[in-house]
Amino acid sequence: MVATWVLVGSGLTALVALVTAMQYNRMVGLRNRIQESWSDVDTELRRRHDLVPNLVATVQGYATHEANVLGALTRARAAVAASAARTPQQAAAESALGSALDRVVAVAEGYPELKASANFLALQSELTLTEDRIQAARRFYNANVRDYRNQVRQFPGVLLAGLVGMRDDVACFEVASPQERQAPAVASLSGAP
Amino acid sequence: MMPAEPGPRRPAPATPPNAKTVARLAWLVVAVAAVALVWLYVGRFAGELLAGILASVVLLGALLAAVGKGWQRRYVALVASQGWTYRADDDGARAARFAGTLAMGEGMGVRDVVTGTCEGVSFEAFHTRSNDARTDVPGMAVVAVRAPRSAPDLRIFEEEAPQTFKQDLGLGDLADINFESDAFSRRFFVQCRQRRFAYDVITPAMMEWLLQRNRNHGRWQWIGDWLIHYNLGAFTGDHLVTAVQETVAFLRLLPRIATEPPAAA
Repeated sequence: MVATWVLVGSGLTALVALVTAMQYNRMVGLRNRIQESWSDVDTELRRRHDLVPNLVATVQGYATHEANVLGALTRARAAVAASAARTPQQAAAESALGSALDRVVAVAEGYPELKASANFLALQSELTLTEDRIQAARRFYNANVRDYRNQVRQFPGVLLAGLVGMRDDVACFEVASPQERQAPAVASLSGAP
Repeated sequence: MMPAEPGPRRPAPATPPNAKTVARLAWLVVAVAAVALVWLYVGRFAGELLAGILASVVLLGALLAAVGKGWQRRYVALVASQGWTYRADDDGARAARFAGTLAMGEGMGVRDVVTGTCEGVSFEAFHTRSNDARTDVPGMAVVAVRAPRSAPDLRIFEEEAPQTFKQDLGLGDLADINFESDAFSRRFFVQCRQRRFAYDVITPAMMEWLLQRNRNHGRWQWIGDWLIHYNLGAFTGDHLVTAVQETVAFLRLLPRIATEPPAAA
């Protein structure tokens, strides 16, 4: 009789250990996936930052009276560089940078020579592609954060999460600007009708 | 992006008979006729009743053949009205190309091949049927277009109860990928070996477009160099035109990041 209870107890213990190990590994996997997907977002944001100096230089050559707009763009880029990664401040700074870029592109509409410039067209194209990539990378990052949060908040993960220090304090990377929620259309950036 | 309106001339919708059923009935007709002829030849039971049965059987056979021919004639007319090309049988290329993709086994048969262009995009559409006894996949109506780049196996299809049950039990071969739109995630299964690629393809605009489609409008699969749209059964008249247009619309909705090679980090 005792041996039976010992067997049953051992079996249950092994089952609990197995489920715990699976839950833990899943949480670690999701956490790693968040890190990886953030690096994608970061890469694309850096790509956009790197486009700013070229864009400013190109627009300056044609639109000499747009110092305010270009100044705002440069300041927005500096604000992004000064903000800590994955914070609401960074999200706000990135939104401001996106808006500043939109304004520069809008300003270019008034300068036909600038619009026709091969360098500007190439920058526009690269900017559009980068915005698409940022959007996709951000959505993927947020999806991973959502999966992770679900895992640590739902049963049975919630029992384990507190014990092993897995907190649900990972924030989504949200963009405040409605313009940034949607990647600019190719036609609107390239000046096509 | 909504699909363009179909062409101006369009014959009435036609429904193809089940090919296997027709074949079986044809054999039955032949067998019954053969037996009747033997009876007649022997002359033991020759009479009005037997002549009536024989005439009925022959009539039924002719009727079935006419239905099949009638569907094919209307289908060919529909294809021609769109400026596309029809071939009753495949040259073998499609069977070899898509048998694995469509899980039809080695004995996949291809017929009713339609080729052409829609809004500048070349496509091919065809019906499949399985000759492989080991697979239970019924015939399918398929539209295939060349994808802008080679891709991992991405599948998009509407949720079905058995599939949902399997996923809930963790028995599916690939996990269902959820998206930020609850409405989309509730209605569609998305499976892909590269989750990030699924996010690249299925943008908010793509989700909205797919949600606007009628239910049971078909499944999507982007595998290798081909984007495939398929339904169980056969094309019924206008459905061919709609399926082709929707496949082209899907292609047009793809964002540049999904159609260009991945950027170097």
